[in-house]
Amino acid sequence: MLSRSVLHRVSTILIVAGMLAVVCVSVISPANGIGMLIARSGALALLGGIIARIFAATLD
Amino acid sequence: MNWSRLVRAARGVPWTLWITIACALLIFHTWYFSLGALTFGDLKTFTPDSLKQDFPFAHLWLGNERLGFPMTTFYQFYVAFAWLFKAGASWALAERLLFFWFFPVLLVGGIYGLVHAITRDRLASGLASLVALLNVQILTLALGGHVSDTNATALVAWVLWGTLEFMRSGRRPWLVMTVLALALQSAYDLRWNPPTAGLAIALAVAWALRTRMTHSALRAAAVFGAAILAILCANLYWLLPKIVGSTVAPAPPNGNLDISWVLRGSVITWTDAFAGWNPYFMNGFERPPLLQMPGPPYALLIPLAAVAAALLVRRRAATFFLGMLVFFAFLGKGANEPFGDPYVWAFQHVPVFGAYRDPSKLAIYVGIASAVLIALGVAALHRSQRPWLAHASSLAVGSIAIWLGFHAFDPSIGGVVKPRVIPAHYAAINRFLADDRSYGRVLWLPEVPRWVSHTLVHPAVDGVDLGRSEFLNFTLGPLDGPDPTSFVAVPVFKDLLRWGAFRYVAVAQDAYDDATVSGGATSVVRLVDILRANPHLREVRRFGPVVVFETQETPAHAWTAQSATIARGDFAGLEGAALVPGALGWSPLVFDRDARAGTHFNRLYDLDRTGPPPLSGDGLPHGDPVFAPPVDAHAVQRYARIASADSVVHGPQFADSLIDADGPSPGAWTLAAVLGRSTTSVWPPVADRVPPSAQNEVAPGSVLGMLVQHRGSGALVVLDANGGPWFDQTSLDHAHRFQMSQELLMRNDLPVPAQVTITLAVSQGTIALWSGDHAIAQAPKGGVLRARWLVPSGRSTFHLRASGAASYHAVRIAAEARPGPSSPDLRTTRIAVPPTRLYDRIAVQVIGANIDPERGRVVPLYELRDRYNGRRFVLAGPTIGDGHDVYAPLDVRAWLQEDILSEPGDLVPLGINDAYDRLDLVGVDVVIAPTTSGAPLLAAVDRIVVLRGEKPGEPIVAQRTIAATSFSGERIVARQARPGASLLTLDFGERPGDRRSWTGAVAALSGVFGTEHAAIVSDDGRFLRGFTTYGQAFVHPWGAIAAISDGPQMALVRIPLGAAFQHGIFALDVSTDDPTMRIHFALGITINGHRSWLVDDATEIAPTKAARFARIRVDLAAALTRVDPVVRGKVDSAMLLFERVGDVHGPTALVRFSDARIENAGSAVPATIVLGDRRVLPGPVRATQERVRTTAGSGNVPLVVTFSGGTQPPARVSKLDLGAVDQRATLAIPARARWLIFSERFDPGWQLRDAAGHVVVRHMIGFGFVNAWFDPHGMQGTYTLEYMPDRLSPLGFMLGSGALLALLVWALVEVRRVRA
Repeated sequence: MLSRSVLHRVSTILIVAGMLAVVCVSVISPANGIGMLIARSGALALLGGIIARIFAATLD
Repeated sequence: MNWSRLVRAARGVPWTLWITIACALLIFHTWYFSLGALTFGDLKTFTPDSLKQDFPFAHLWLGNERLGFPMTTFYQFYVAFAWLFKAGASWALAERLLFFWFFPVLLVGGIYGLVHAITRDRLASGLASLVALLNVQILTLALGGHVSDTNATALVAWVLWGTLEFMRSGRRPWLVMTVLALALQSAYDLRWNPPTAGLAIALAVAWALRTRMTHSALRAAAVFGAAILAILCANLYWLLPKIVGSTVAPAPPNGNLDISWVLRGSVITWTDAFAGWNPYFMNGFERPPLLQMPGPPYALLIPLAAVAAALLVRRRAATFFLGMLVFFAFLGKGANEPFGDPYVWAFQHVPVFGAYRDPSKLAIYVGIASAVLIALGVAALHRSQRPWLAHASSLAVGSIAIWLGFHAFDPSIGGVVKPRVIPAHYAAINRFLADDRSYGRVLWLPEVPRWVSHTLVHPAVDGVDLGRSEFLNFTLGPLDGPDPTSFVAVPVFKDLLRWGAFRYVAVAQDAYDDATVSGGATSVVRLVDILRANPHLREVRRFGPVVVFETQETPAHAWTAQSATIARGDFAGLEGAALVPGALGWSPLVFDRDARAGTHFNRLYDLDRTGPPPLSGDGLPHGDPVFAPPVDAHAVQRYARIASADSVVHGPQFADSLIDADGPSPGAWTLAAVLGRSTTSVWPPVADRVPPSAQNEVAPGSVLGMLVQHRGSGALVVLDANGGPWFDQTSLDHAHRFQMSQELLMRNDLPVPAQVTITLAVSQGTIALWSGDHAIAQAPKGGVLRARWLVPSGRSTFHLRASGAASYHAVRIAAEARPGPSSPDLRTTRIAVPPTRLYDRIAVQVIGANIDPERGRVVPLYELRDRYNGRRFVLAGPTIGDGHDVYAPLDVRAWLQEDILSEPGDLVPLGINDAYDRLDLVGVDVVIAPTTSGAPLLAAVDRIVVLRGEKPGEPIVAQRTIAATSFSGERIVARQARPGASLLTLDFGERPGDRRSWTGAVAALSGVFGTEHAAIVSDDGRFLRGFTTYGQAFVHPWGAIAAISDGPQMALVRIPLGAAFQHGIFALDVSTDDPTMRIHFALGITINGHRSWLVDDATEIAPTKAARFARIRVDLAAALTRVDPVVRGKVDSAMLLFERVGDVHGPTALVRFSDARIENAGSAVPATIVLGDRRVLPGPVRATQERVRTTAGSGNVPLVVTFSGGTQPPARVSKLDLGAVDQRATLAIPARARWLIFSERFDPGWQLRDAAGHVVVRHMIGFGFVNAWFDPHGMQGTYTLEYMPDRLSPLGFMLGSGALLALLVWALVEVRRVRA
């Protein structure tokens, strides 16, 4: 069972990771190669983090 | 005043808000305190077309009386402006009231209120307003001139604030605030409504989900309803007419939803979307975004702080705004990585999403979300045990925000920060225009174009590039980002001015170009130079940097013509045509009925639906190639349908599709049909024009026509008395291959012999055409086989014979039948022409500049674009000296030797793609250049693929694939690689000794359209006429002129004199040394039945050159009497132009001056025209039905003069003075007229009604862009002209505004009541 706190923690990790990716691609171009991988992974992490957080909010 | 209360209130203001206010005053002080007008950018660039790109559903004609310019958006503001002006407010005050004074207050107040509603913390609220104000993206909009966007941005927080408070308290005044804020936002920029309303609804739904209370759900529903109500009320001014009215908005233009918009528009990266960073900002507002510098990593400090706050603060509001931040960051980066495809997909498929071509604007929501999230964090700290941390962090964040937005404080930044005082010369322009009482529009053409150009220094004269809006169909380049040069250089430009009722052309050379390059690539072409070279414009005044030209003739805004016959035709097709006066005589005016605005012209000549690509060239049924036979009506056929007509209108774009359909009654009759690749032309005679004998013989519905057939696949031409043409042209669309012999069966069902013309482009083998035992014509590979012969009634056959395998491309098959005994003259004309050295109708346009790294020079790049088959050529031209505007003759040969003949590989960088909406080499088809002297063409370059350089700022590296092609023929210089695509004949006669500079004549046959052209060529570059291509280039001042020299080379050489003449107008360069000189040289040319001829009476020519010549005697001295005596001494030479034989107007004389100016000396030049032994001018003439035919000429040039019988009096034209036009006008038509022309850009919404309210139903496009009506019964008396889509606009506006006002009043009363 996913508890609210777990969801919260997961979402925090994902969002932090996503924002780190954003910081990374400010240095590495996201247009190709590793930059794209980082950018896409980060975007997915952010998306997952937001969804998890919204879901956590509904568990209140 | 209650000071103590004020002091108390001031004490309550947190220091963060004080700093915000100080920053706002510093940044925007000019908005408040400076004198002069603040003007802004994009607001004025919303042309109807650009608007339709954004909002295809909105289409209004909301007239701007000053310029007659249709302004389709910002209706509310135009109304408000009008009120303010009526109240005596200046422009400066009005724009401050409506735009500038609002913004800082709206933004700061809204953010403060929203955040305070969430946090109840003033320190945090003040900090949020500071962070939002200094958000780089928002500042970029505000300072960059997007004031409408900016104010719409500022209203986002108000919408959310009202929503939040309503959800919390249920008090309806809060909901009213949401409604009003959304409505006001809609007025500022409709595009902000969907995301803002979506956010408000999302907020309400989130709230309802959280509370899980019934009333919350109801409130959320109320928010939803409020959003709908707000958008409805604010847009009722166009929604009401749209919903209630019967008009149908035209379809969006083709370019709409083109993904290139969003690909180019996605200017910020994923990182920058978070940071709210905008590359424009980094470069300063007056500098181009050439270097789209991504935001530095430290720009992420604000969003990182916001996300950190969101993660640390355990509030649901934080989740909401965090989601908002990420969501809009994702949208803001647009098509960029990561995952850019969804945006592109949404752009193409999601309704309304197509309005967001510039995704970066959506990143503004990121800035707002960041501000709120940071405030949430600070508020949490404030409530913590260590509240000093809140102040410390506020100080830190505020400092970072100021640091990041420090550019905004820089006084060197331009844009709207700088007060712009209207210069005195603009005031002088205003006075100049105001003093001119006669109606005439001003074509405002800024020298430096933006996407659409505008000037920021002159708010009173709309800086929008009117030409692009008006003459959309006449632009040569891509629709996005065309220079005005694309249409001012077309030969028909003079007609556009006349037909559009333009009186002045104003060229502003101080136009501000904030989005692309100032100077540099875009300044290679100087509009003023082009216009100065235009003989139809006269430079009248110069107001500082603004040059004002006056057109030669300004017609009234509306005029009528009586004498025009219209063909019945089918209603899906052409309606008819009329003769109208032109600068050089009478021109046919062709009307089309079912064309739609925006695509009308393209569609008109997309003859077979699958034929050539949409024309964006001059594609005219008038002007450029116009020829008007001396009859009173014309018609053009469209698609598979044909409107019958009295006579012929001829033009290159439908060259082979227009034939004599019928001679003027009761003269001889002609049935004619032509079938060509681009042609679906069968020309059915309408029943009443079928001659009695034929009518007796042919039952209605039966076939009256001719069958051309070979084996299974044939081309059938059927002339049906019922107007139902049927044919199959598919077999002519492909190259035919055959062995040895091919039999073609021909059946002539006419009671008379038919003359058949066949034109075939031979792509393989040598083909001969035989009729029975008689060889009619023969042509080798690469040549054109062209033959005419008479086919008797009944069945007959002919053969194509080849020595082996052969193939050909049927270019044109035409049949023409005449009653009575066949004339010997009609027997046979055979022309087998060699390939040519000319390109076909290529428009030359400077598209960019190449930096020659070795010499440090700018090398112009010319684009040559065949407007009819869409092929593009790129040529580079060298310069002379170190200047940037002196260009050497463009010698294609040299270029060829250096470049073309090399192996395939990388081209040297062709240029710097410094303006992303320019210089697009992708898809360039062919670059062709001639080889060395005397040698056949060895190579053509086919296909250029850009490897790098598609992005702005990147050097262009292109790869070229060479398709080596050999051509035969001694005089071939160049030919397009695709056989049949362009086959031109060329003939150079002997150097004619005392015939001055006349060198040769060229007859050109375009394989694409079966068009023949003719040109006279001189070897000294002093005179050239004929081709649209070269006429086009001719008026360019920098010398990109295609000329044909006497040798076997073709080179683009500079010709100092520009004169673009129409097809069918013949010109001769004669010396004025002897004003009484008689010219005796004669040349007649037939261009697809388009009779033009010229006679020189001074030079004896052996009569064997042509069988019979028409001769014209012109008294040049008389012609020159029309010329200003002062300048007469500067006359260099004169040109005589003759439009047609039998024209009662006689020839037109153009006089060329030593300064290269050409003026029309008037058409009433005393002249004598002698045809054979008969004197045919002056005076109306009924020339005999005569064909003067020769095959000799100067070699292969068909020197033929053909006359139609009969001369009708020209149409009588009455000008109607409408003055300035609003959306409704009343006009009085004094005399019965069948045509009414109204010089407002064509829009199906215009309606013409008579006094009894009857609508004149035949509303058509005239001249390709203006409105025209035809009533076969004639119109006389009082008529009303009204733009129907706008009919309900005032009502809608009043209803919507009234409802909003009522809501406001109610809310105020409610607030007072609750307080009481």
